[in-house]
Formats: sequence, structure tokens, C-alpha cells
Amino acid sequence: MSAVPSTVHLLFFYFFAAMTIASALLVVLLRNIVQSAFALFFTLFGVAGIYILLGADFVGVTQVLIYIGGVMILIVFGVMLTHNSYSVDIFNRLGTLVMGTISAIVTFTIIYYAIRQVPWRLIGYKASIPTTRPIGTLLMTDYLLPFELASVLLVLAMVGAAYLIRSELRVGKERKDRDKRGAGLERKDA
Amino acid sequence: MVDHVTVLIYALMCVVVFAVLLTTVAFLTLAERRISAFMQDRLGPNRVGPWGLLQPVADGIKFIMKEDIVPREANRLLYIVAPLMTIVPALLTFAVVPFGHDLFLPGRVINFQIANFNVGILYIFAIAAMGIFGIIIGGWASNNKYSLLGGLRSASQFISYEIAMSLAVIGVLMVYGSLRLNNIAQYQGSLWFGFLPKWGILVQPLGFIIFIVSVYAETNRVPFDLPEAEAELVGGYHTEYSSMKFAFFFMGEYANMITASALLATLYFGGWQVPYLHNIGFIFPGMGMLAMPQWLVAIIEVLSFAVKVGFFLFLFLWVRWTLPRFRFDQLTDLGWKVLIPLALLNVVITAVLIVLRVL
Repeated sequence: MSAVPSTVHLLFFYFFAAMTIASALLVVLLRNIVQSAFALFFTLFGVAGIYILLGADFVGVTQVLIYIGGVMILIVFGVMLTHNSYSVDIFNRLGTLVMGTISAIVTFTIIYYAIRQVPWRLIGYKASIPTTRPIGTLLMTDYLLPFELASVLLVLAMVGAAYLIRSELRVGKERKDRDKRGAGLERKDA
Repeated sequence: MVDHVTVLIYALMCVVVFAVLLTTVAFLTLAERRISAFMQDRLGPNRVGPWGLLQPVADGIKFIMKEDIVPREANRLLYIVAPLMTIVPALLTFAVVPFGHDLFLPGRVINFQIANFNVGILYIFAIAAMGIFGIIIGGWASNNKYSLLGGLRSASQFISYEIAMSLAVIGVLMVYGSLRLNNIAQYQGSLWFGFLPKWGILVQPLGFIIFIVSVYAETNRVPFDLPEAEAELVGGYHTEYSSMKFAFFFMGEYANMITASALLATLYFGGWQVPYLHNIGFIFPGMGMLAMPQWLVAIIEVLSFAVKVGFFLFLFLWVRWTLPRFRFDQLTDLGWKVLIPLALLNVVITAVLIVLRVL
């Protein structure tokens, strides 16, 4: 429970930090979108590692479960199903490069000052304390409203997605019916 | 404070568990072929060594000696990395599985578990989710339409069944109130109505059925082995793979089966528990007790765990050689329209029973 992290702790921290930053750079710089997605895998994994080093075991594991197990798979799925999207050269033009640099600097500055402003309370380096019980209790008491609002948001997103697909199915069906009716006509034209 | 002897003991345990896991994978491939042969009234491989027991060794040598082909049009880097991304998570998941009661030695407590991780069950789900990534990447990197289809099937199947599986486990977590696999196993030793051991299968029968079906889908086994349906996809995501790279995919699948069986045993069949066996021996409610030394209890518990895992592994093989394969639309229908609603129902029923203090 010392105030100074152990050497092993530090080594792991630098390992995960280097992994996160290097793979994040690869995500941006690689020209092949599937390879970018693959690099993103290591970025998310590195962030999860840092969470766990910080003692946030639940957040760390959830990060892997949701981002790598869900979001990443969906991204890769989308990329692969999009026709030829993986052979398109997606590297940015000069204009977007300038815009990107500016927005990156602005974002970095905001985050930097936000971090400097917060009065951090150092609790020292403890062996992992279970965080699941306090998180569960807090979600069901103090933060019940935001928690429920988040689920409402998710339900909205789900209903929206289902509606979009439904309408596409309906259009597809109408087109099929029309094709069926007009089939004889079209054949005559051809 | 961590002392060096404890570190040494755990390091040794890592080596032993790893060796046992890999050996089990090797012999599971043999068991699969032999048992399938017996089910189909054949003999199976019985020439290498007594009863064919050396067959895995021969297979291993053959895998290493085979030519390792990388297709010219494949994405070379991802093609090589993909098998590793499948096998490493598959072997990592076993780290949090407990296989015995804590051992109290003078001065220290030894967990029969490599890592008594606080969020053990979530850890398994998270790492298993990483394994599926290797399959998708491998399918894509091969630059072969059958491989790609296999990979895509695997992804959609995994996402559908992951939800049902997690929801089924929520029931277990509600009953035992812990994410630590060791605690879950331990609580199953307590008695229900004073005489029934509180095993998961008794308190969560519906959850067990949902979980076992989902686990079969997650491990890509029959009747849900659509990512490698050889009749439709030539070989599935590993069509282009040869030599050790193919072996890694193969070993990953079997290692996942072992972890899945261990999880089934831990969550629903008491893990290492033997009914009425405590740290000091058997205690039968109202009928006296049978004292035993601690080492004997530990051996019995590890054996009990091994027997349970062995049974579920056999069940995997049994199902594979008994049931036909699902069609893909049937598979997704079952996952989304049957298992997920049932799992939600299970959560509600469990909650009501807990409020009524039955569980």
C-alpha cells in the first residue's frame, strides 16, 4: 500500500502505454482499413490494461468485452461486408490533414487543461480492491436516473435500427412485387 | 506481502495447468476420432501405440513437418497473426478457473486457481471475445470467399449467442452474488432446504439449458458449426491454412471446449464440490460425519472437477456425432427469438424467487 508504484507496476504501465500509443498511430497512418481495424484492437486492449493497472478491474474487463468483443467485431464485420472497401486507399488529402492536426491540437489542449484543473486525490497503490459491489450499489442508488436514461437511449437506438431495416425490407418487397407484375413487359422490351 | 515461496508455487501451478491443458487438447483430438468411430461402429485410429494413444504425437510431428503455405494474394501479416490470435486467448481463459478448495498450509493459503480474479467470469467472456477476432481476421486475410464467409458467419453467430450466454449467467450471479468463480464454486457447497447441495443446475435449470446451447454456438461446435460447415464452405475460415497455423486454429477450438466444459462444471455443477464434502471431511446432515485429512479432500476435489469437465467434454463429442447441423437462419432465429427472451424470463423468475427468499 505504498505511495510509490512498484517497478513491475511501472513496467506494465509503460508497456500498455506504449502499446496504446503505437497502435493508435497505426490506426491513423495505415492505408488499409482492415489493418487499421486490427491496430485498433491493440489500442483498446492497451487501454483496458491501463484500467486494470489503475485498480479498475471491472471497467478494464468491460472495456475488452464491449469494445473488442462487440464494437470491434461489428466494425470489422461492416468493413468486410462493404464491397471492396478494404482495397480503397483511405489516406487523407492535405486539406483534411491540416484540419485533422488543428482539431487534434485543440482536443489535446482541452483534455490537458481539464486534467490540470481537477484536484486529484491520490489514494496510493493498493492491491486490487473489488470494485463491482460499489459500482453496482452506486448504479442502483445515486446514479439510477443516468443509468436508466442510458438504457432508454439504447432502446431508442435499437428501435431506430429495427425501423430502418423494416422500411428497407418494405421497399425491397414493393420492388419485388412491381418486378413480378412488370416482368412480362420488361422481357418484351428487351 | 508476497513471499517467494508462494510465487514459486503459483509459477509451478501455471506450468502444470498449461501442460495439463495442452495434453488434454492433444488427447481430446484422439478422443474425438475414437469416440466418433465407436458411435459409427468403426475402430478409429488405433495403430500408433497401444489403443492409438500415441496418435496425437504422430499428428503433432506431421503438422510440424508439413509445408507451410501462405497464399500469394493473402494479406501476409494478418494471415500469420490470425492463428495466434485464436490460440492465445483460448489458452488464457483457463487462468481463472478454480479446480479445488483453498489449501490452508502453515503460514499461507494456496488457491487451486492460477488467478483468483475479482471479475473472473467477465474475464473469461472478454478473453473469449478476443479469440473470435482471430477467426474473422484469418477468414479475411486468406483472401478466399469461403474463408471470408466462414469468418463472417462466426462473427454474427458469436454476437448473437454472446447475449444469451451473458444473460443466462446473470441468473447464476444473482443467486450466488459474486463474479469470482472461486466464490461461485464455494457457495454451491451450501445446502438448500437443509439437505440439497445448492448446485447451479438445481437453482438455475432454465439458465443451464440456455447456457449450454449458447456455449455450443460460441465454441463453433455441432449443431452450430456453421463457420466451418464443410459441405457449404469447403473448410470454413481455415480453408487456406496448412501446417502448424491450421493446428493452432484446431487447438484453439479444443482449448475453448475445455474452458467451456470447466465453466459449465463451475457454474452449474458445483465446480470442484462433492456433495457434503467439506474441508474436514464428509458431513451428512443429521447422519454424522466422516473425518478426512486435508490433502485427501484436496485430491478428491480436484478429481471431482476433472470428472465433471471430462463428462462435459464427452457431451460435446456425443452431441457432435448425434445431431445434424442447423441452417443459418434457424441458428439466428434460435439465438435471437428463443434463447434471449427465455434468458430474460430466467432473470425475472430468479429475481422474484430471490425476493421471496426461496433462493
